[in-house]
Formats: sequence, C-alpha cells, structure tokens
Amino acid sequence: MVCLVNSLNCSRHVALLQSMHQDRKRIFVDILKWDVPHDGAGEQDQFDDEHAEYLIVQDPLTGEHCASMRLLRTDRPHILDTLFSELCEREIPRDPAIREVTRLCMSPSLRARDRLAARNTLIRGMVEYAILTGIRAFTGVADMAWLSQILAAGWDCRPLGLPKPIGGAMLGGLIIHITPDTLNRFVGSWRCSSPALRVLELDEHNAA
Amino acid sequence: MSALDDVDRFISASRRARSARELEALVATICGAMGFDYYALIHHVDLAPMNGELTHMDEGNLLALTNYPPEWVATYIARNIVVNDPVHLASHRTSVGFRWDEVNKLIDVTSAHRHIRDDTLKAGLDQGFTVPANIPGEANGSCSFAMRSGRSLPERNLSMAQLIGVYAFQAARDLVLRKRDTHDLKRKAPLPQRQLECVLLVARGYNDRDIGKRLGITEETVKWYLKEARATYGVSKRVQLVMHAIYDGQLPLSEVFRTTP
Repeated sequence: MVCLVNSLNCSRHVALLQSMHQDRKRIFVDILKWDVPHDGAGEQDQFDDEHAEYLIVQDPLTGEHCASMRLLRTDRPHILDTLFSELCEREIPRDPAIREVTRLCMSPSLRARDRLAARNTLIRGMVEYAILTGIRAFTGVADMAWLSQILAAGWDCRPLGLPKPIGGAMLGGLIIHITPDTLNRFVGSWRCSSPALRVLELDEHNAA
Repeated sequence: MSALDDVDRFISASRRARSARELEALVATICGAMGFDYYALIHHVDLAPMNGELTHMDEGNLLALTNYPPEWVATYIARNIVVNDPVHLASHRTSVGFRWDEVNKLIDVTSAHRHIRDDTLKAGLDQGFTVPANIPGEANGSCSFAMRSGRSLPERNLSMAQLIGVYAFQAARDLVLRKRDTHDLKRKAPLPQRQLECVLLVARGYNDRDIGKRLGITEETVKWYLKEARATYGVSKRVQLVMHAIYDGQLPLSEVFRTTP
C-alpha cells in the first residue's frame, strides 16, 4: 500500500515521515554524498513545506518507511526551476497538472526482493495518484545512468534538455507523460498488478 | 534547429519504426548529423546469427545494427570478440556514456584487450563514444558511435550522443521484443518459496544434506525440491538452475553473497 501524505494528514503520520527523513539522510547524505541540508538524523530541505506531498510505501508490520517520493507543484518554486534550470532548454514546464518527482528513495534496509516489490508498488501508486488527481505529467532531474531502465520499464519519457555533468554525475531534466494506458505499458519486472494507492485517510479527515 | 529538437524528432521517428531497416536508416542519419562516422547498437552476446539482411532482428533473435566496415564485422563475429571487447567490458562498469580513450579508467586493460584495440585501429576505427544499455535481467548491450582513423570525436555532440544512444537502443529493443514470439517472453512462474530457499543454499555452496539440516527438512525432500525447480526451468544441472534463477531475477546476487551465520 502507498500512503499519500500531505499537509491535510501529516499530523497522523509523524512517525512514518520521520522514518522517511531518516532513510533520506542515509541514502542522499551518507551513501550518495549529496550536498543537501540535514540535522544529523534526517534530511529535509526548503521544499519539504506545506505544499509538498509524499507517496510512501509503509512496512505493514513495523510501520516503517520502505520507499517514497516527494511530489512538488511545478507552479510553485521546485527543484528544476530553482536549482537546475540549466537542464531545461525550453520553457520550464510549470502547470497545476504537472508535478515534479524528487527524493525518490528506497529504504537501505530492504532486502533485494522486497526492494523490487516496494519500488513497483510506489511506481504504481504514483501513476494512480496522477490518474486520480488529473496530473498529466511528471518532471524530474535524473542521473542519466537511470535513463535506459526508465525507458525499458515502459515510461513515456522525454528529455527537457541535453544532459550535463554536475557534481560528478551526468544529470538531465526529464518529463514523463501519464495517460490512462500508462499502467498497462509497464513491462517485465516493473509490473505491479494490484492497486497501490491508499487515499482512505484523506477522505476520513475531510469527512470529520 | 537545436540539438534537443533533433533528439526529439529522433525519438518520435524511432518509436514509429516498424522494421530493423527503418530504424537503421534513422540511426545512420542522426549518427552522421552528430558528426560520427560509425554506429553499433548491439547486445553483448554471441553475434553469430547477425547478418546483412538484419533477419536476426526481424526474427527477434538479438539486437545488432551497425555500419562498421563489413570485414571488421566478419572478423569480430568469427573471433567472437564481443565477449572480451574492452569497450563492452567497460560499459558493464558504468551506466553513462564514455570515450574509448577512457576505457582504462573503467577496467584493467590486459594484453588481449590491447590486441583487440590494435585490430580495431587496423580496421579503420579509432576514437569512439559508447553509451551502455544494461537492463537488469537482460543481456547487456550498448550503443557506440565511432570515428574513422584520423578523425577526432565531435566533442560538442557527446551529450546529444548520450541521449540518442539510450533512445536508439530502446527503439531497437522494442522492435526485437515485439518480433519475438510471445511464448519466449512469457516469464517462468516464480519458484515456490521452499524451492527458492534450496536454490539459494545451492548457490551458496551447500550440499543437499547440509541444506536439509539448515532448513529442518530431510535430504530427500531437498532433492525433490531441487528436482522440481530444475524441471521448471527445463535444465538438468544444479549450476544451470542457479544461473536461471539469477537471470530470472528470482535470486538476487546480493542474497547469494549475503553472509549469514
């Protein structure tokens, strides 16, 4: 199951969010050595504000974070327009129906088999979120090392500019278009056949 | 017209290509437009089925598309250089494009590799840029762009070549997968958990008796599980079983190498 956490329900997911920020610190600061703000325990930056939304795969037994991504509105300041505008050759896509995917991360404690399942659940949740909320595209900054796999998975993905060497990696801006057919296009090991997204708690909150 | 416009047009056209010949024409055109002389999109497997008519691709056998000098291609296949090609070995160590003069930063270059490099030069190929296309669970592959001897790489277009390489390989891969008989594509049913545990312990070097002890089952039961698992893959040897389970993604290498008490 993928939890959608945003400013409406974040108070009910404090432990889950904390566990996510801790894993983000382990991945992005300790392992990938990114120069991003952290407080020693968790990684958190200026975009982790009330406008950010998170899709989080939660371990059903321990309640801990397994995998997650942060979705930023592109009609507000986001990573591509604030930090990496040089990766976008034409006008930066800014639209209420386009989200930027950032801080995609898997818990380093997961075993390989579980990683694959968590990744596919998260990816399916991401497409379901888009279809449910009328999002038609995701943008993002990606290491070109992933592009072959992104395409092989079945995403309709286009470059926003030519890749550039930044901080020891070859980075590029990408846009992924989502249609009702996107879920059917996932192939091979990327398939996740059961519905993933849990929006129940948002409804409960709004109903209360 | 910007390089990105050219990339965009190539992506759209390559997705529409329905035959190896069509894709070949697109790749040849963009290869020349970027300032390269040669291209080679290939899976890093025995290239024996490769032929000028491209039937190997139209029949979905393997992905191999190149305009390298025909004599060099013939030598390359006859000597099965593909498996020890230093450029290919280097491309398994990285996921982003690299220049051929950087290969020594990625692998330990042996004398055999230097011989291959010398032969490549004699065949008229000098500088090159290779974009790896390594998809987990599939044969490794790459898309190389190269220069005739004496010509230097079009430096300003290497980042464009990075994108074109990835998209060209994906278009070729799509083409081959579509052509391949769907029976071949059908994934094997996953091994039941208990069989998989036995296969994992085989991979870690245990014999049937020790596997039985560790799992708390009899040696006969272990033999039975392994026999069933071999039958699933249609193989007769333990080592084949392990390789199939790994290739299939059922047995992650990280699990095989995980040291447990």
